Amino acid sequence: MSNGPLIVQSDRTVLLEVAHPDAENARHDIAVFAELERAPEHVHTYRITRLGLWNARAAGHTADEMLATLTRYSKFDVPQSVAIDILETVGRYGRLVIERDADGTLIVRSNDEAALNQISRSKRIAPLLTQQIRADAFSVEHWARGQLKQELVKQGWPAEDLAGYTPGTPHAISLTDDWSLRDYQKRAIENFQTGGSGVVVLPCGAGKTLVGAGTMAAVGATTLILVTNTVSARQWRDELLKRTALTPEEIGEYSGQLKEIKPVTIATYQILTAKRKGEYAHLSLLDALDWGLIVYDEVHLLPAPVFKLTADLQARRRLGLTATLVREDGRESDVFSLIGPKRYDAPWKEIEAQGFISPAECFEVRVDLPQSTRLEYAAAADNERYRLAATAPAKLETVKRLVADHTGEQILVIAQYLDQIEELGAALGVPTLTGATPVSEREQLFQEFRTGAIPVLVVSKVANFSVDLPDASVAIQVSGSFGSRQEEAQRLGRLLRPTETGHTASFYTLVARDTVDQEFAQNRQRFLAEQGYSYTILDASALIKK
Amino acid sequence: MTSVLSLSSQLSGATTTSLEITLTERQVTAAGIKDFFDLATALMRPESLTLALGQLERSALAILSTLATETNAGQWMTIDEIVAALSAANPDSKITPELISTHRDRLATLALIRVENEAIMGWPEVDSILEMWPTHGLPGHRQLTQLVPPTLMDALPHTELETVDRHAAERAFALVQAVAELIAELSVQPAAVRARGGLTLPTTKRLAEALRVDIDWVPFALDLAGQTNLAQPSADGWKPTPDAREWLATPAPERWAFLAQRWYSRTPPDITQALAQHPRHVWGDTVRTLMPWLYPGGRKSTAEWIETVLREARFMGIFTNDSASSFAYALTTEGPAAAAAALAPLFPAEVSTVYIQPDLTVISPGPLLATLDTRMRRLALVENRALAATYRITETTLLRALNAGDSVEDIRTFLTEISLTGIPQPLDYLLTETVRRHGSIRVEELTPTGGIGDSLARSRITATDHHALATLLVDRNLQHLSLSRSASDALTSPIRTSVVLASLQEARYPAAPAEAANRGASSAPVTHEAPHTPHTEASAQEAPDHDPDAAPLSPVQLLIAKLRKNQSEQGAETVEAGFNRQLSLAVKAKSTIRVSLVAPNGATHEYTILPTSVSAARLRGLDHVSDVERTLPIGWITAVETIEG
Repeated sequence: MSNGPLIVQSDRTVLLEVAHPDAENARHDIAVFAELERAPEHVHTYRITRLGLWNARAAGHTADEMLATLTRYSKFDVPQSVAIDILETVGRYGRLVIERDADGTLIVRSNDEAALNQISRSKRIAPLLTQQIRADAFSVEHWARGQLKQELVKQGWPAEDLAGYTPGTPHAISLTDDWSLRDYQKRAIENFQTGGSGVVVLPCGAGKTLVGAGTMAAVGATTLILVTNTVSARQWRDELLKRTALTPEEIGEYSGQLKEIKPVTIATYQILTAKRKGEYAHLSLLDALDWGLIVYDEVHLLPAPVFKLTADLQARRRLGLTATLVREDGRESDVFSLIGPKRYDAPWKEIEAQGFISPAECFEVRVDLPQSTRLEYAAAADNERYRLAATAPAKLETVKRLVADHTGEQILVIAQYLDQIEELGAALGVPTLTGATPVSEREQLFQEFRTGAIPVLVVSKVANFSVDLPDASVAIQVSGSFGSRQEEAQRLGRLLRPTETGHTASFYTLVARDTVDQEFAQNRQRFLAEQGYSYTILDASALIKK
Repeated sequence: MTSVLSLSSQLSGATTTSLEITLTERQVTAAGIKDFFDLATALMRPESLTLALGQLERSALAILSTLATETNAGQWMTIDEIVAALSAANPDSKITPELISTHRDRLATLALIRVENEAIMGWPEVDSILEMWPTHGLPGHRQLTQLVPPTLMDALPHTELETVDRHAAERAFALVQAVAELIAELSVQPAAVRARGGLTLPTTKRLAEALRVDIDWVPFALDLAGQTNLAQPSADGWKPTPDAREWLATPAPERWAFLAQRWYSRTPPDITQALAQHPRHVWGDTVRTLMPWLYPGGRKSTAEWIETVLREARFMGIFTNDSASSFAYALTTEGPAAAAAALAPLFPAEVSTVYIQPDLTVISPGPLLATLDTRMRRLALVENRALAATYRITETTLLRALNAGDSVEDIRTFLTEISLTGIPQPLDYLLTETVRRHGSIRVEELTPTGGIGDSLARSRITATDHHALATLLVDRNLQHLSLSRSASDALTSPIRTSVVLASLQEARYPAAPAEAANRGASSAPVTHEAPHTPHTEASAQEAPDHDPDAAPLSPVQLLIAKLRKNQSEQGAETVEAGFNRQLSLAVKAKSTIRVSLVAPNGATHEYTILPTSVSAARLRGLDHVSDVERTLPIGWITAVETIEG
């Protein structure tokens, strides 16, 4: 036993004592195969999962190396069950190989006869195989490459996909000279290039779009970029025009409003999954050009139907970009199978420490419900209670006070209810932005916010996803729906953009005391503290008196 | 028939403790048993005897076989005679009077022999079964009396003993943790027992989750805790005993040695001795070789038993891959202190400090000292526990601690003392906020006064803030409590206080029992603990005295209570009643019997008759020898033997 910084538990969690002198090295080494689950101030929790181990194996790490890492840094003996599990799990990766034989037929091959027999007898896999062509191989339906990988992962036999990629139509893309990729961005691109397909995990503000641009330049082929919404599509277009030599004529938008197909086409998930008469109406987009690269922005939000479509795109290089591999629907294994293994992952705090994203301080401000509202709250049904708590009158005064305290900074005020958004806008004398705001007006407001012409903006949930607001350093969340991990990650993401002013970003959430609002706040507190951010609870009354 | 009567008499004079062993080990069920005669009849049934003989070790069987072979019916043997007979068959064996004496006591308790004045007699029913063994492929007298054990293997491929120790220590640590977790869980919620014995499935699942073991291991863990008197059944179910606190306070290696020693005490001495004499890397084979030889009568059950023994041994960290750990070996050769000393360097060092984090988790970077762990559990939920433990503090857990008598100063002092990193602001805020709210709503039980209006009220709620009462009155989540205002500063409810309290807390009101809200900081916490009950030997004359707060009686204890009750009611008539029943059966079966009797003038007679009726304390029957009908007073009869039937 080395008395190191790690404690490996029999439930496959690994605890890291942050203050230990070897903590940094240990963190660096185990990040290869263990997923960071929680990173509160003193002890971080990693989890050794099947996908994590297979991701590491895909990146060339062996089980012995992983065990050696654990043993080297472990305070106590590594539990026998964990060691056996790692050996067995890692040993399963790549025992089956998907490749093409001499005449180009897609095959699945294995030297492990038992494994091959097992999968060929599976009811879900057998229909994907055409026939046994050799003792060690089955031919595979030409359309089943993705589906086969999905099923193999589900059955615990992740296949190594060596069937290659179509090069796509060459299209030269160069980066402009007035900027350069950061080291970690370069590493992410190199890793992707080596692996062929896969996911790059970077926190908001760490330049995922730039990794996308760099990858496009490296691949040098026609590219289809899939994003979450139209605003995000336009942000991508603007960023590509700024960071690459691509011209407006080379970049097309394929959305509800425009249907352009150009060497670089940016489409929304929504348009891809739109149906007409029960059929996907825009599937032809996927074959409109011979794409050499497909980029999936915010891959953790990839809608389920797109998985099915992606299963048919296995011959094309696929790059997934995300801040988190955690999916609210638990379909992480589909991302692994269909987009590819994780190719790069940088812990948020590590990048923050390198100065590329600003640190954020989180505050929970508790307000009291007046007695009249409290009686109304008590008498209300559950669904009405949240609204009463979320729109507690005292929140308005508190927002005013916070805005005044942060004069000179770019402030986002986030709320859920339209009437509350209007009330906040009117009380603060600032513009509001909701789902009903036309795209052009929305872009205008963003632009003015970005330039500082508008210092305060009240927004609804619409601003949450893939909207670049680089100068926001304060966010005040007045109300929001049910505090999912994804939502919190996005909200914090708004604040983590690099600031030019050097202000420490501040994230305030206003919470009605002793209400359901407070229960949601507990989840939020847990999530944010687990992410390593400082978290302070304040009383609004004390704040206002101050 | 004579055997049944004799055994019946023997059983009725046995101590309650001895009877408990007899009934438990002979697996007697209460069905159809009203008195000791019924019990003796059940114990003499061939299927019951076959089961009992199948569980005996070879040397005990050799004694029974010797009694069956070397004596005629009704003959007695002394211990020395048995030693002589067995030594003659086994010149190399080490048969001693002490060994025979030990077996004699056990066989008598199992109701398999009769003992009088140090002499031993076999039951004809037992003899008959042993005589039939060879026809069932089981050993006969010659094989049973071969008492030289098989040669045990002592050379196996080399086993990595250091690895064995590491893996076994991991298991041993998990066992200690599981039992500690069991005690903690039982102190929060006793484990309810079904009327027929055993745990309910939901309870078993709950414990399996808490102990982090497969559901199959829960009965074993509970059994182990029971045998070591760390937990005992009570009227509410299984609860920890005061001994558990002492056990938890000892270092972890000693805790393991204590448990393992008890486990070994169940293992046959021959096995323990053999293990102590053999290298620790052949223990699995030693058990596998020795067990079938030791228990020749029940091949199938023995095979199952071996696997059970080995599985338990692996679960406890005694074996790994059939090799014994060094500390298990030390336990058999040198005792628990040596075992604990051998285990200590292999166990993770216990820690006395923790990290308290802003997400309200508390992490002990290693096994937390048991006393600190117990204290921490009063403040927090255990989220995860393995080598390190994770606890989570919430408003609910803090309220629970305050209700149990902790003060905020206690809590702060404790956390400050053990925290490596101080108390983070969110926890500090939570503490302040919880204490501020604690007791602001109080619930107390009402004694019905008989007054109109309050007559149905069972609970009373008061609050420091009158707005709070108004809020409770309109809260739709509390409508089931039927709250009504009884005074400007109080509400009442017809619902039980515990339900009112739970409902208010579930609705996130800071409700506390009135006594907790008023209580000072030094009150003892509320935990469940079974009273310490030293084992005492109840005499035959003692009727079981069942205290309603004590543990519920087991099926065996209930049966003994019934037997004793009937015995006291029937008194001295029991023997006569037994003859009555025996004779009635003979009348029904039209069986010829031989009856021995002693007349009041001391004259003894023996008649062979076909009984025709039993009535008015008289037996009537045809005496075929003298061709007369006889009428015999049952009170004169001393023995009845069936000739044919």
